[in-house]
Amino acid sequence: MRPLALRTPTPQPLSAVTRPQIRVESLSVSYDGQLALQEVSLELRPRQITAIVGPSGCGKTTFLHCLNRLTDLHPNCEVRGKIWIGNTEAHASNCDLPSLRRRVGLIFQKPNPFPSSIRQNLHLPLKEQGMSLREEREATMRDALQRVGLLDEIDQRLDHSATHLSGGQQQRLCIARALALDPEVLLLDEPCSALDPMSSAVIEDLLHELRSKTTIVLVTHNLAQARRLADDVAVFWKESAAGRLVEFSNRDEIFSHPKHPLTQAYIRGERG
Amino acid sequence: MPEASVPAALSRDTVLHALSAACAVVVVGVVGAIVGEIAWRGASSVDWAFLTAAVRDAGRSGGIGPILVSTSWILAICLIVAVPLGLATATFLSEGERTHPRLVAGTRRSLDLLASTPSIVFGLFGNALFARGLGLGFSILSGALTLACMILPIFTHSAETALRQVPPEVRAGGAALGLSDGRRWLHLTLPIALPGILAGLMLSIGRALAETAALIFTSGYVVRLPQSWWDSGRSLSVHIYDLALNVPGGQTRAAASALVLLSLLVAIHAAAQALTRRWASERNDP
Repeated sequence: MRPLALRTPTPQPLSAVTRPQIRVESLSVSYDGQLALQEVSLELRPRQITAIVGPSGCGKTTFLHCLNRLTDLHPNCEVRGKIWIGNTEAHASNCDLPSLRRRVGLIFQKPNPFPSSIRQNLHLPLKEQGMSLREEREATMRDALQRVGLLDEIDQRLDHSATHLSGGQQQRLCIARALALDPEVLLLDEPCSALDPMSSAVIEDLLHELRSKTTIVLVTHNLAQARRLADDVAVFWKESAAGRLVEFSNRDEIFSHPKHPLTQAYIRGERG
Repeated sequence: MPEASVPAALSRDTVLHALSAACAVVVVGVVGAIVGEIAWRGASSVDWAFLTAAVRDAGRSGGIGPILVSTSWILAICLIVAVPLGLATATFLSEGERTHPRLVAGTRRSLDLLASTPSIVFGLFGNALFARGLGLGFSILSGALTLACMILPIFTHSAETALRQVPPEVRAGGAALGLSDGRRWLHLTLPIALPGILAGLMLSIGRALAETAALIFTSGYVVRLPQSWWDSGRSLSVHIYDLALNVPGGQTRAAASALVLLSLLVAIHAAAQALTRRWASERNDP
């Protein structure tokens, strides 16, 4: 099969009236001088689910980590270009990083509860946020656990270790931990890939409910999941070791009338 | 052919298992022989009076009360200095590679050099710097500071190894929630690394309690009860050394003192293990 050439898509505003929640301009990322993500530009609408899809190694996770500057943790990572979260330029030198990360929550592929009690998992970030009253933290914790449907399951075990929960419960706990900080944006990096189908369905239902209040960016390998959940879809592809955005549009366009030949092949299951 | 090679592989495995088990038995045997010899020769002299009485007749009679007090002072001051310094250095080494690669490399080389320095050299260094240079004289403080320099590389290396074993996803999870570096270290990194840090602390205490050469030049070997850390004081290991080599007829008391030293090490080790288990269970099922 003839290799399909990459073309950089022109970023198109998805709505003329809705101001984007996240605006990315010419984002390029390199690790140790090796380009990992090249010239990505796009705008994400508020209170919508945007799915980022594409084959392994195409820069989906790197893109996600740029949005809340977790790239800062990687040694020798260089980020070029601009990202606005609302009115905040995320990679500006004067950006308040802890505040940005509380506004932009990130859920990892593998659930990563802290090795402490369930209660401590939620109280710790709230304390850091400045919520000094225990009663207030307790109420916020219970509300967050209720939102992810976990409170009834673990109400009697709040002082037990979070690592003793099942995988699905751990992932919901991590989502609750992020939600307790009332984020504007929730980033999810393949949140269901380590879970069984039942737990995945619970997470998907939860994301549907969260959409009304929170902007969600979901990295997924699962095209069926993207089709079920996403309002908009961005397709990333890897060329010459660097990931690029090949197509970005609403879900129906991407799945029913994909324009880019790579997207067409990917949707049909012929590539990726 | 696979059918023919299976019994051969099994037999090789059996030999290897037997060899490794034999090595383990040898190790246990050596430890047992040392402890048995010391206990056999010294146990009859160890009683409450021996642990509390003053040293008499150069150690041939009386007890080791002042020696235990001096040893406790030296160990306590040594740990008070070395543990925070070592923990801070280990944290810098485990997390500072990205921001200060040269300083990290230089610090690591310095610690390696310290670790390979003979204890007699530490004794001379401690004597020159602490006893004479800083005017601390032959004192518990001079000895403790010299010991702190000695155990620093052991403790720092163990603590760094323990800190590096903290899963990166836990740190990343904390960072993604906007937790500050300090809170991440205190609430996420330290609790996970604590068993490894305590193991390093045990090694360091063992090294400090066993040290003789460095202390002869710094804390001295006066056997009276120290009144403060400015006084000279004899540590248990120095006392054992003196009884065994310089005091005719002191071998039984040397063995008794060695038995006390071994018992102290075992007790400290057991206490650390119990603390670690309690900490782990409190974190898991409070």
